[in-house]
Amino acid sequence: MHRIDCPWCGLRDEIEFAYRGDATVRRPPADAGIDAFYEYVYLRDNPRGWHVEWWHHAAGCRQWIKVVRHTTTHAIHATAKADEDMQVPRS
Amino acid sequence: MPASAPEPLSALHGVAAPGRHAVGGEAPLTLRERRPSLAMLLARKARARDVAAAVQRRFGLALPAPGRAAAAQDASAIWTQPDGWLLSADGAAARDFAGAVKSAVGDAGSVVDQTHGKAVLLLTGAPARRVLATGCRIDLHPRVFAPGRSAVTQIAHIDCILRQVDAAPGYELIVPSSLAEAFYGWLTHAASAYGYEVLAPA
Amino acid sequence: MSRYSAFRLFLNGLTGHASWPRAWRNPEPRSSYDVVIVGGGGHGLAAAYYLAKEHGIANVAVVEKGPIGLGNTGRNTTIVRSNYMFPQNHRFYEWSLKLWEGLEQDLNFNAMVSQRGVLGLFHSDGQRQIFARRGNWMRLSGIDAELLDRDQVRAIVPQLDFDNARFPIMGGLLQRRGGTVRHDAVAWGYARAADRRGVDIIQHCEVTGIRIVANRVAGVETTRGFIGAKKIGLAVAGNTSHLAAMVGLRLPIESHVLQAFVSEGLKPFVDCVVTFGAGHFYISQSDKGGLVFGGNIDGYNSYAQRGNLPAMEHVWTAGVALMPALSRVRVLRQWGGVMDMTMDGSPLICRTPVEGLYLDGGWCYGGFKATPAAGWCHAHTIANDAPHALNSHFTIDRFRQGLTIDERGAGPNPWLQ
Ligand SMILES: Cc1cc2nc3c(=O)[nH]c(=O)nc-3n(C[C@H](O)[C@H](O)[C@H](O)COP(=O)(O)OP(=O)(O)OC[C@H]3O[C@@H](n4cnc5c(N)ncnc54)[C@H](O)[C@@H]3O)c2cc1C
Ligand SMILES: [Zn+2]
Repeated sequence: MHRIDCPWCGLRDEIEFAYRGDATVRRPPADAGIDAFYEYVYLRDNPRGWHVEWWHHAAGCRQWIKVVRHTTTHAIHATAKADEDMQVPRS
Repeated sequence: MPASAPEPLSALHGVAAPGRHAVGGEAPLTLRERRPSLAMLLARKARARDVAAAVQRRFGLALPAPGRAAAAQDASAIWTQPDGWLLSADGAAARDFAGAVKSAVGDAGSVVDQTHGKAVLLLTGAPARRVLATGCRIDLHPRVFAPGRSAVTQIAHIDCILRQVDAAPGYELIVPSSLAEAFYGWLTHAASAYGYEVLAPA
Repeated sequence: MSRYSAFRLFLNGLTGHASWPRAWRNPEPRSSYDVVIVGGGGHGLAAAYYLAKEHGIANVAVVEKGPIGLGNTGRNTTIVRSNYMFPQNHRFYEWSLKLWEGLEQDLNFNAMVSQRGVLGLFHSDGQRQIFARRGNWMRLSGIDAELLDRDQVRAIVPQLDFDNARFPIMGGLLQRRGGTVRHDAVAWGYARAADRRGVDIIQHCEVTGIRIVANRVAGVETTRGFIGAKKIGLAVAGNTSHLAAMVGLRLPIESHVLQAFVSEGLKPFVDCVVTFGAGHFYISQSDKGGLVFGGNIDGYNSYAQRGNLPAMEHVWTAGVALMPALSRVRVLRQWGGVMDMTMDGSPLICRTPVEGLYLDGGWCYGGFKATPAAGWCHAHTIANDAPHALNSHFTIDRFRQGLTIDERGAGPNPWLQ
């Protein structure tokens, strides 16, 4: 069971959240061209290890938050508000 | 609303019937439907300060911080999301409460009447925490949760805004009215382990 | 190596089954091969088998990091069917179903192919329309599909909740030729048949790197040393992104975990496979009597072969809502498998930008049924350096071209596919 520390609400169970994927991808400028949008929409690093990702606290404060989570241990390293930058631990 | 329009019935009308459901003669829990007027208030972008000042002026109410609730003479508020609160009022203040909130905040905030969108239950008594623990996943232990605290969460898979009102302990449980009957069924089932009494709506 | 037969079974029975020969060799890796297939699941073993059988390429190794068949092949709920809507999908899966139908004879192995029928339930007029359209589309391609009404469903699975269900059952789409196949036997059958044709199956050998010279593969770095290869095929299920990253390739894939459950053994209870899409639940009964069931993916990126409690609760709740009798059934085992979830829910069997590197991945939760056809198409693509018509649309490039095959219409959200 993931217990996610929402920066607004505190520690909550994963069922209150909706997963929204990789939080490192950035929408390119509108005129960036087809390749940039192809990468943005479709390609993912999909790392085996630490992953910065969006979780939407749908049944709580309704905010999108960032979570640094490990994809093999499911350990959560840190959480932050949507506009904060997240550091991924080495290892 | 024209004066002749009937007042909508509560979502728990005919569901939360008063009565005693004792276990071994004991009914340590009380359950009561409350019927306040409710208004959801969201500050518009960068207007949270203005909204807070307006609510303070009009209702003498300091809008609470995340995870908190606050009460004043005529109204009370629960934090529900960043720059967002659920406001409630009883008695005389309940008349056109959403309109009153809107006229207070003006263009600094958006207000939606939730009076019939949600149902409100008050659960009080020594075993209340244990009853809630069978469906609520947040920690309500007095060490971390006390009167004045609130949470937006899910209880028994139903969205619920919860506020602790006293140390009895008593909890106000605010759920979507379309799911209120299901929630009531769950709550009374959980409470039936200890015994409870349903009081007439207040 | 000898053929399996009833007579052999009898003979070996006389000696207490103590003298069966090994089903496949356990060779040391040679220094190089014409083709190295990475991943000893059903897909990798099938690719090796069809390379040898269909294309005369037998100088092949299957390199597997653990024992064969313990990845998703040994973790899935074994449903096989070809009831997809889009022709790109149902033609491919129908070819797979045809291969399943002849598989046991072909491999001389009892894979317990059981065409017990796959029944998908619908619960509203809108859903009926969609199922009818899917069924019609299948029939136009010569694939069997029958639209059943409520009473016809009741005749097949009377134990569903017809009277009080949260989602009232209005009917179902039945594919009688669908069913289940014994998952381990698929890996073992392909392994034995490939081995007999000269393929080396190298277990406990993890690929840690892919050596490239002038944009062409040269071989694989493994925990047992370098193995040269003219061509390399990847069939590593949930680890496709990880292997592709070894050559700097990013893919339209996220790895997600899906759980499965098996109950205590019961007397015959469910004759066919029943799928309850509206509630994310499907169920069948194994020949041993265990109910085999599952539901939706957990829904977050994961390489852990285990899931979490919310998904379990969801699956069980849906199950009990559909078949109230299940509330009394004890679950004996539960596990998770890691799958490639693609951005359109459809797979990849294709060449890659690296010469001599081929891909069979992106199977989401439905690649077991694809095992024969995926191996067959992967082998074809490797042997000819070009896809077969059956898999020519399963490319990486379809995403760039706007030719996604999004059966579910979930868009580029792999956790929703
Ligand atoms: C719970 C669950 C239920 C499912 N139910 C169904 C179903 O009912 N019907 C259906 O059609 N599909 C189902 N699927 C999907 C199906 O199981 C898979 O798509 C299919 O089995 C994939 O086969 P494979 O041979 O590609 O993968 P696998 O059997 O996983 O084989 C891949 C192999 O690659 C090996 N490997 C990985 N990395 C390396 C490396 N670096 N070096 C060497 N070897 C490596 C792994 O150890 C593994 O053995 C389900 C999946 C799961 C998880
Ligand atoms: Zn929150």
